Amino acid sequence: MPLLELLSQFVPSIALLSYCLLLLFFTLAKKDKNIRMFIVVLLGLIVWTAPAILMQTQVYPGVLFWHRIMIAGMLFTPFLIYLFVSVYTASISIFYIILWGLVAGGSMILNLLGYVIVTSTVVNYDIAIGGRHFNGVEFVYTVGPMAYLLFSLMFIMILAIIIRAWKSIKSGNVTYDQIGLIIIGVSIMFLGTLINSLALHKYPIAVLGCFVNAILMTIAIYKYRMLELRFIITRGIAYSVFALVLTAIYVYLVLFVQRQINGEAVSYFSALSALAVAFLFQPLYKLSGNFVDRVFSRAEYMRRQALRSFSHVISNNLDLHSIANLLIESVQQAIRANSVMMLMKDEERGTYQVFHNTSQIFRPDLTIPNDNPIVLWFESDHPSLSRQEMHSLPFFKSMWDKEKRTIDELGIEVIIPIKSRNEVIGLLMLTRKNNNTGYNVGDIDLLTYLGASTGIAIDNARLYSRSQSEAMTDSLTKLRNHRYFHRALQEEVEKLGSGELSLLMIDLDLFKLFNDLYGHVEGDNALETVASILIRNVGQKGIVCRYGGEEFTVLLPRYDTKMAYDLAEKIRMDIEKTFFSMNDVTQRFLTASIGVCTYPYAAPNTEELLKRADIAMYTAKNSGKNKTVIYTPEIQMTEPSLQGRMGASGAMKPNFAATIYALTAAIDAKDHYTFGHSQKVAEYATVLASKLSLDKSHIELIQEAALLHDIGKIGIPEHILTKTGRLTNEEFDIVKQHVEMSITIIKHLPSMNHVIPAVIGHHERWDGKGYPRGLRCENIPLAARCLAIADAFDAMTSNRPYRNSLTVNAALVEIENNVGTQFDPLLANIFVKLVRDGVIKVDGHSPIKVVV
Amino acid sequence: MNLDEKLRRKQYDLIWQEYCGFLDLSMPQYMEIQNRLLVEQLELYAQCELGNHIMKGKRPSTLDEFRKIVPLTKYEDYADFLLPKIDSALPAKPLAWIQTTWEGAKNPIKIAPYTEGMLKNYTNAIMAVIILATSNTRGEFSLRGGENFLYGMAPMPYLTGLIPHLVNNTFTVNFMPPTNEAELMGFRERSRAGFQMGLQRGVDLFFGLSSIVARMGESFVSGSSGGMNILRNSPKMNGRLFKAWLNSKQDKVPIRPKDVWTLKGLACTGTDSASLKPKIEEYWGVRPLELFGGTECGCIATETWKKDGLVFYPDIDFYEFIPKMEIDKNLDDPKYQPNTYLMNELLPGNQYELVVSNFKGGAFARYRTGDMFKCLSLNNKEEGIKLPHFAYIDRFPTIIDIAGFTRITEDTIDQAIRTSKLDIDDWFAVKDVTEDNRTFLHLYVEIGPEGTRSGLNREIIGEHLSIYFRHIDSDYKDLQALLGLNPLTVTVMPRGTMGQFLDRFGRNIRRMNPYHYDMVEILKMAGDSARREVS
Repeated sequence: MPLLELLSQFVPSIALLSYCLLLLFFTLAKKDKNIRMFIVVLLGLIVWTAPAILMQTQVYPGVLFWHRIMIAGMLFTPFLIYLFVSVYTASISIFYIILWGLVAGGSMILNLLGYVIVTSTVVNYDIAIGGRHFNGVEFVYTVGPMAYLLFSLMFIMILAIIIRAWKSIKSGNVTYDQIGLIIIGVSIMFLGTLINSLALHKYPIAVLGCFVNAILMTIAIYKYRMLELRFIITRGIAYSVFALVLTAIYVYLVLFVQRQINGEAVSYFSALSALAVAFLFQPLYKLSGNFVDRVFSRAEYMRRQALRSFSHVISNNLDLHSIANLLIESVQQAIRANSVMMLMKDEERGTYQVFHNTSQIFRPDLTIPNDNPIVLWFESDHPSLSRQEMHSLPFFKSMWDKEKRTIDELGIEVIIPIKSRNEVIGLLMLTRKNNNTGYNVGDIDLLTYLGASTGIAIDNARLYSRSQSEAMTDSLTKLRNHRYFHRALQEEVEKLGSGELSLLMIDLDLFKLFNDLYGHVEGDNALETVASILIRNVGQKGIVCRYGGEEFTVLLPRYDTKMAYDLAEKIRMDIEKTFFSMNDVTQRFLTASIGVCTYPYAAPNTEELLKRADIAMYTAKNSGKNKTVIYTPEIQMTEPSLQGRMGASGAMKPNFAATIYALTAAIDAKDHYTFGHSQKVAEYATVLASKLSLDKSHIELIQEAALLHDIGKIGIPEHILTKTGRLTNEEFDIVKQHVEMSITIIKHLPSMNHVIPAVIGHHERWDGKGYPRGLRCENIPLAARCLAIADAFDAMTSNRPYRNSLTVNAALVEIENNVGTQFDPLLANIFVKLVRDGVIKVDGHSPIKVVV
Repeated sequence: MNLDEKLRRKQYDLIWQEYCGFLDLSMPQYMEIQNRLLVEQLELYAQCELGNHIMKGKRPSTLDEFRKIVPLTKYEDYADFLLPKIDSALPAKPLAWIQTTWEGAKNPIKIAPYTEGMLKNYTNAIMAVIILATSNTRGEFSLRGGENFLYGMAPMPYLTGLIPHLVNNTFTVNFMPPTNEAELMGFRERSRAGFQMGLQRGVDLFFGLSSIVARMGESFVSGSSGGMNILRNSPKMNGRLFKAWLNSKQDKVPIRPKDVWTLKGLACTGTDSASLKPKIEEYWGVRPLELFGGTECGCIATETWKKDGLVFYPDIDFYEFIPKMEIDKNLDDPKYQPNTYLMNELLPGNQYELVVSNFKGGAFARYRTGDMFKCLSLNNKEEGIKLPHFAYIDRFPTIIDIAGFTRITEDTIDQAIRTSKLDIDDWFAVKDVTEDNRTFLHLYVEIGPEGTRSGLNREIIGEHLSIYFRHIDSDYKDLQALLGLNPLTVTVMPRGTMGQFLDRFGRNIRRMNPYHYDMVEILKMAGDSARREVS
């Protein structure tokens, strides 16, 4: 096909199609005066261009008519562009608008009256190029008398447009950047029209010039955002546009083919040719469809992929670092931001700190406090925050300058919350996208989804981590537990290499007694105190565990025996000092015995290490308690008491009788009354205990406690003990101290520790008004309650230096009178009955033989 | 993206949100901003020498601690650091030093440092003023960029002198005359040049002292504002002038500025704004928007689109308010430390003195501004504004501000009387208002025996003192020159009147702005002569 033919057919078609598309877009856009004016210009251009095609197709009413319409468009469009430039540059001059309006209107009238184009026809011709023959068409027209005048006026108008634009730049109404493209576009249009008029009128250069001008005007409008596009080019619109383009080309080709055969073909041939072209276009249409899909689905596809992989992996992930890594990878895959950061809340500090980011090398120093408006913004359920919002919303006026500076320096563009149960547990921060485009609604939706999913995953991971930690943690002391200890011991030994590892086995002395005396609450408090002492002394140097009950272990990697011993002594003294410094008299005696053993020199493996540290600890316990003992092979050989621990239970029985005898003899030497009194109390209490059906060992304990209950009187001055008159308050206070003194004496007799609860409680009262601890009701040990009744009864029925004894009956009445206040009602009633029934004989009794 | 770009893109909602969005804040949100920015300032303040000096070496970290530890301050507390401009002693590096008159003090000027953060906030505050001045409805304004801006405020180094520079950096506007030329001109010359340019090109925005804006309107009406050169005017302006002339002839009324110009917005400030605003609207055809600012505090309050009361910006300063009752206690006993109340603790109808603590590294903490405000309401439900509205009342009672130009103190008057060597035994001064709402200084004097013998009278005293006031106070001189006012009126009281007051009430009458009822009593004692003069 000759070039002329190609140009004269394709250029107007493409130009017209482009104008139509632009018209469509601008019609859908939010319009202002600039846009409205530009739409009018586009209509003018359509009127100019469309007739060129219609002329070629020679459709009704004929070539002349369409030629005149085209000339009308050509004459009127410069005026419309003049109007547009006036509005665009805000330099409207009514005078010139009226002037050029009259010129353009007049020109149109003259044109339509036939003074411009007189005749216009299409001549078909045959042309041979390179031996090939083509059918061509040529327009032949004659111009009227007014043609040159009107064309000249049109050129003057185009010049006026350029001059007006130039003046606007000079006056400062607009900048060259804003109007430059329009000046260039109009100049091209001017040149095109001029060339077409003077020469080369066969070629559609004027139409081409107009087309270029329209494109440049569109760019100018878009570049300076006079256009607020309120729609998104969807796939549907894109398909429609492609369909439109292809249909146009298709129709055109069908007509072209038909014309080529120049009516010689019969009608079925036309139909066949249409069918053939349609068939040929099918792949093209499909191809265009694929292209649209690729273009429009690329972002969507990437998002889908990111979401799929994220959703798949995140649900199975319980590791925080892995979740963070996955989130950032998914965000990068879907969004392609320059940099992504994930901040996590540090519960202790109450701040958000960078937990993970895209850079492997550089971790930004960014800390956001709890009260930062960014956090408060997300707590108010906002799904995202953009840099623009941060700078423009009054909510963010409370941000500190340095906070703003940090966010700006890091180039943060968008922040998304990571929330768990309405609590902001993290923040996802993104910088600009790689392609420098802004974040759109789709991006934000995706990020919000990822943030929400991550929140749930993090929550699960934390729960898991917490439950794992709880399984390894002692709930009371928050130290690692027995299970963790064994795992840690194994791990530490494995990674030790040729180094040493020491183990401290710590056991609290007389802890059972402590619990019996002060109750389990106090016992728990004591354990917590000991735990904090251990943590304080060991710190990061080792691993502290609660091995069980009152036993603790400390693993000290790379500690030799000497270092371990020093630390153990420090711990021991700290415990001693802590409890001895307490004001409460009842906590004076909590101490620790510690065994030290070192791997591999003193123990070849972990089992032996544990066993030998235990042996060392029992050695400390049995050699007076409150001491640290280092394991040596000699200990094992010489320590008989270890047999109990080693499984030979029952082989050892302390010689209570000798001890008690020695003690009672001491008190007898000082205060004979007390000696006799203890004997009698032991007798009464034993009978009472027997009546209560207590087991044998408990009855024995009561008997022993009764014999020793006043042992503290050894420390009371003799003149007070034997005073005949009534005791003064001060003297009575001194006498009351005999209870604590009894404890002080007994606690140094490891074999007799079990009687302490009964001894310390024998002056407690059922109503809580007793001493030394003011215990009440069943908080008072049973043995102590038995002793209290027996002690009071014997005191009343014995002669004292300061008063005569009461009768048995009077003493029993007195006990009955104090049932529920001083004495346990149940025990007191049983005791009274036992006396009245003669089971307990008050006269003629004989001292109880201490036989165990 | 700067404001020009946003205007070009028609992002009006965004612009409104950025500059005027603070009017959407609730009171808790407002206080959150106040408190958080105060903590930021305390951190900065604790690290500098000035902060240590003012906070007595202590480091308050919360609002309560701050108010307990730091006493209320005056410029004297800062003078040793600020007058020699010791940058290193300040909480943050200043980018500008702003100056003003130190009324009645030994040093003629006070200066205040402005940091980068403060200047940013100042710019935003001024942009909010300009936008609100061109607005009558929430969210809608007519500012489009490229407006002709008639600017009638003091140049650098005064605070208002910064405005053209800051505005020029923010968006395109044509100051008339251009800023670089205006700074080389005197006030009168500048006003004249701006006015002429306005006639040639038109005026879109106008910002000036209320007294000046009103005066320009008066001059225009009286035809004394200078000749018009129709050859230099744009045809549009000539057309408007012609139309205005025809209308004035037809209605037999003088041409007013509003007949010639259609202003988009007018902003004004000054102590007598409240009284002059109706007149300004009458002349200029647009309801003026009042704003409030000061050298030590910056631009801190603006009226809204309704132009019915000042609202304080949340991020310029931390605000505390001393109730009138506490001020009176403090006036009677200067050692008394008045209690202050916060923005969310005020009562409508009450008057308060403003106390500010600068944000963003500013120098002043718990600084008594000496400016009195009346809390008009705690919100404006109709317009959906949840913040208190205020009216600027006046300066602190011991300072008499005339037309926003000069601030006369007891020391100024004392100095003028001493220098004049007039035989005046005793005196007190009151800020008074003429029938046409002009403020003036009313001085009540008792002439001594020598003066009585030599025939000293109110005219002589008035003329003499005027001369000495002009000599002592350059602002006073400007007042006369620019507004054509004689701001001094003298009333002679019978000798012994003030002595009688002392005998009867056991205290002296306060020299500056005495209590209203004290005035009633002393005028009764002065008898008919004084009352006649007053009336």
